[in-house]
Amino acid sequence: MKKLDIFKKGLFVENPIFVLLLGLCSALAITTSLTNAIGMGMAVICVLIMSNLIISLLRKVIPHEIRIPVYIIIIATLVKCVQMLMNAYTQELYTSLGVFIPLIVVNCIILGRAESFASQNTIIDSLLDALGMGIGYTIAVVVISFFRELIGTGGLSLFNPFDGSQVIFQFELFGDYAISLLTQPAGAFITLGCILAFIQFWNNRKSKKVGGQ
Amino acid sequence: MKKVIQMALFLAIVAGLSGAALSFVYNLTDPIIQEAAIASEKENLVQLYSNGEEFKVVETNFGDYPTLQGVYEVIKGGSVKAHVYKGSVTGYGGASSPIVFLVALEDGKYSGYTVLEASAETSGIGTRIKDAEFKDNIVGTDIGGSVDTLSGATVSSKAVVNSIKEAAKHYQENFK
Amino acid sequence: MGLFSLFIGLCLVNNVVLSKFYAVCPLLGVSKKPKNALNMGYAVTFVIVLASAITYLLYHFVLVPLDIKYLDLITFILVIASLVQFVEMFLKKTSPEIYKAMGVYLPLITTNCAVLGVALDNISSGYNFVESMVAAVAVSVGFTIVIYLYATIRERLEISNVPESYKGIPIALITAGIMACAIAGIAGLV
Repeated sequence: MKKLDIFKKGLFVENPIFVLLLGLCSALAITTSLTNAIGMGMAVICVLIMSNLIISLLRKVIPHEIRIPVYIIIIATLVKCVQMLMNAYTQELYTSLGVFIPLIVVNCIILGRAESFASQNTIIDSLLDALGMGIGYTIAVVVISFFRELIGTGGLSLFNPFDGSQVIFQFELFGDYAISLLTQPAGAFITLGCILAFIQFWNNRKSKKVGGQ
Repeated sequence: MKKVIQMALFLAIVAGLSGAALSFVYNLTDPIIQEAAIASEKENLVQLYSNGEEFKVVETNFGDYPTLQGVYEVIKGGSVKAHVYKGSVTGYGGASSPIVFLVALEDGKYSGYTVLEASAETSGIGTRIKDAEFKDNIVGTDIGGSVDTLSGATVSSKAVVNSIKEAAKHYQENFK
Repeated sequence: MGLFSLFIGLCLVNNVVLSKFYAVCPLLGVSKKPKNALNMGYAVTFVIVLASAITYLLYHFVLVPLDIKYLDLITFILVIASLVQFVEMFLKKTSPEIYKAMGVYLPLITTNCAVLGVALDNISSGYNFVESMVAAVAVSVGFTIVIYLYATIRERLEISNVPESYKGIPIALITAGIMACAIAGIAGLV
């Protein structure tokens, strides 16, 4: 497989959330605002890159029978490190993401990529795979949070994740007509459902076109 | 058999390495986390202790003390001088806008008291918990001793007094 | 807080699946047949209650005294993974029927975020042992109720006339959204 393809497949064709439906739990929970989504995306990218790197490095050393416990230890260590670093340097983001940072451990994307890709491929390929999947995850949560925040609060805002008081942009378009349901848990399910329906619609149309030719 | 030992050894090494990595990151980040935790409270704590004391968050379980929110050690010259409790109670303003206050415990007595938030209390009645009359009533009393409520502002002052009792109980169980 | 209101709160009002999104993956994955959903619910209940008890004791009697609280995550996940393994082996040996019924779902529980989520929540909410146990039971009962109801709805969705683009997962998600609305309706209960 070409290097570029390894990177690119995580973005759209095998997008972990929109296509593979992995790690939905965090994706639904933290998409109440753009800032949270980007912060969570960064955390997932960090853990994914490190875990793919380490597991790919050790892929010939780890005994096959106990590979899953070893992966779990490695991933839990990385997640805890990210959690402590976020607590120290991005206090506000840490508070608003809460329990969903430690829950990255059980995010199926990480263990899934370790098992199905990093354990069989070279370091460079595993890194590209992690980067693609991580960015794919980030794109997905940013898209979901974009709709939820825009329709749910009538505006959009983005704060510097390292310093919550620093506003990157913030504006309000139709605050009086906001549908606050979308910021609530129910809104998360409905938003993702509609996005997936749109993707399905798009794919159906494409395959009909191909079929018609 | 040999294989089992080999695998066990491998797992132990991985676990050991991860423990080492975690303790390294922990030691790196813990001071920063502690400092950040105290930074937001520091501007309040200096209302009670403003002679260059240092403050430290005490990690504790407030399961049986529902009105207490935090406890801080006041450190002067390297030794713990006093403890400050932060309490949050429901006054006349309802549960959504509580009264928040700090009370300091030092040398067996209540040594300081300040209200941080009481904006939902009735002006001139509930807000009397901020006045010197009520403060003087608390400061100087022995820890665990009875503190009078304010007649005419019973709801607000009683809530605060009960929370101070909780703080005294927690103090006597944990720091004495 | 009273134990009863804690139970109702976690079981219904703040149902972990519909308000905290714990365990959304198994919800979408296995819940097409009500009977399977119930079996999954039982298995999860068993693991959550046991895991909460063990992690509580480990945290308060090993990690806190030794001052190594930063090892909590790694300890918890290892406890859960080995617990699932153990339950699997135990059931295989003692009651093959139950094992057969639950077998497929057992390994999935390790990556069910409800188990780890409850263990972590119990610690961060400062519950004592009894409260932790009540919370664990409440969460798993809440999970079982939701996954069962959800399975019955999805069974009917299979045969109903859904717009082409919404077939499958999209309509399932929107169903979950409407269930979350219903749950939000009883928010004032406790």
